[in-house]
Amino acid sequence: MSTALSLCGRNLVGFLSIACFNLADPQILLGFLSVASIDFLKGGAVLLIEMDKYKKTREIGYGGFGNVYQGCNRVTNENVTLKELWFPDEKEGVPSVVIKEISLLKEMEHSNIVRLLEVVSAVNENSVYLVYEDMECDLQKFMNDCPKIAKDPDFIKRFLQQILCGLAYYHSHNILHQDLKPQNMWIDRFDYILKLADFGWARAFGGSFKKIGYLDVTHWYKAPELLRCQQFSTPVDVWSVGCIFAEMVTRRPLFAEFSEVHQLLKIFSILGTPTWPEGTTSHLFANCYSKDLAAAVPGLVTLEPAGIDLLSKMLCINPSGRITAHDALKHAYFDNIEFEV
Amino acid sequence: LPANHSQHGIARDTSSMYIPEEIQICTRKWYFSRQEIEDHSPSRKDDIDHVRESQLRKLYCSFLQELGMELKVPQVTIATAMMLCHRFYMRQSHAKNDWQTIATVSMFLGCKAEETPRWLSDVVVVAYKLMYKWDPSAPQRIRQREVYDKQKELILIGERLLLATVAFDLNIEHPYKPLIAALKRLEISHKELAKIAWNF
Repeated sequence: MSTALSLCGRNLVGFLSIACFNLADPQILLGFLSVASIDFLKGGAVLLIEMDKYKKTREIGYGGFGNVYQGCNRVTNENVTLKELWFPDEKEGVPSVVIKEISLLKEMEHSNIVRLLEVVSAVNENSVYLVYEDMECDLQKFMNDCPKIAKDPDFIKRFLQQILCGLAYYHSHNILHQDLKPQNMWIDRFDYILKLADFGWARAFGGSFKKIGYLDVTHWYKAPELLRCQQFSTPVDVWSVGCIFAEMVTRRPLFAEFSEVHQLLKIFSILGTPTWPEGTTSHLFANCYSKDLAAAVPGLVTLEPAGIDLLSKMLCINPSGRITAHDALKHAYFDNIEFEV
Repeated sequence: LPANHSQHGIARDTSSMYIPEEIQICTRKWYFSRQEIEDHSPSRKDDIDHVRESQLRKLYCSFLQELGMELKVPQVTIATAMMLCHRFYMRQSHAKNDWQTIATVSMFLGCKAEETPRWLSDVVVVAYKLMYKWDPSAPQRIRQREVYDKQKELILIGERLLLATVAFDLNIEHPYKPLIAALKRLEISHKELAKIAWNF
């Protein structure tokens, strides 16, 4: 870690001064912090640790709360993803949502979730950088680049299982992802490990994140209750996974409309319009019937019957009737998955 | 099909996947042995002995209790602030970090972590008055812009330092709820025992 700690007067405060702390290695942290202390900082000293450690190589996305960069560690040459979190003019210090989210994300350790390596904080800038491990390829790209492998039913099954494993882990920690889409899933091309990424921070901030060079697909994977701005919870993520599952099989997005209204109509045209008992103003999709999915979406004929069954359970319009990620993993579809040690 | 490494977690028994070992290691790093606390805390390097550090620990805990009551925050928030302070001084020395400042910062951060936020201005003013309880001119002084701004700035700097020091480990599980459950389960209605256990 390049820690150039320098003493300088108040007049230099405006300079870029970044404190960099390695979450994984308390030893490094200790070494640096024994120099930085409150008495030291009180005397007008500034933590000046250059962000030398990482080099931003290119911007890969932007959102309402900062940009996302691809970067690399100058020392190890390891690629990373840098997500900037920007909190302009924060009179109350570091916003509590940021604090809460980072402390939660830090605890996320799962082989199917992209790891948060460290948090690089800009002391006199109102932002922090989250440093994630980087993988070369996302599911979208993978489906385009390696159609043969991506089409393989065993691979689809495997990817789906990994998505659900990561998701069940999120949900077991009471975290909603809310922005699941193929562009948010990284694939390691060597061992075909899929990891859920989360650079959107949609949960914490309600803002959307757009990846440069991609269509705005934010609503393609949105559950009906989200499109209708109703109360929502963990089932919204399962819906998104269902859409992605269908997309892996048919090679095209299941519901891809221009606007959120069209999106909802499209969903109803394929799955059937929910009916409400007369006289009720309930906005729950209580009475909805499901059309035969395989008949409604011709591309799904290649999918085995157990897969169709699982898919229709994931795409249940009524969120309370939708299968959970945890239960989905126990579905018969995964019974015959092949394991290679 | 290419070989799939089993250690990467495609396990048939999905229930076993929820608590990977890394997490356990992760949480274990805030558990210390008696020896680590008594003989090897960072303050020891600056010639602050175990007895003195224990006194300081008592000082900041009672300061936090008082501060928390003044700010009308729940007991859980006070407990979190105390834990943050403890964690801080397991990685930092008392000699270089004024405990009153760190305690105030811990309270401010604890309030955020426990979702019982208090305004920075309130925390700064109330803490300042507490710090200078012996000085009748203190309440007057903190109303001066200069003094207030300086104090506020210090807390904000301290917040970054505390976050860095505890590496954003702010999810603290308190033993209070399990304690009540345990007392109930063991059918202990002995009030005195419950009180001692609670205040331990």
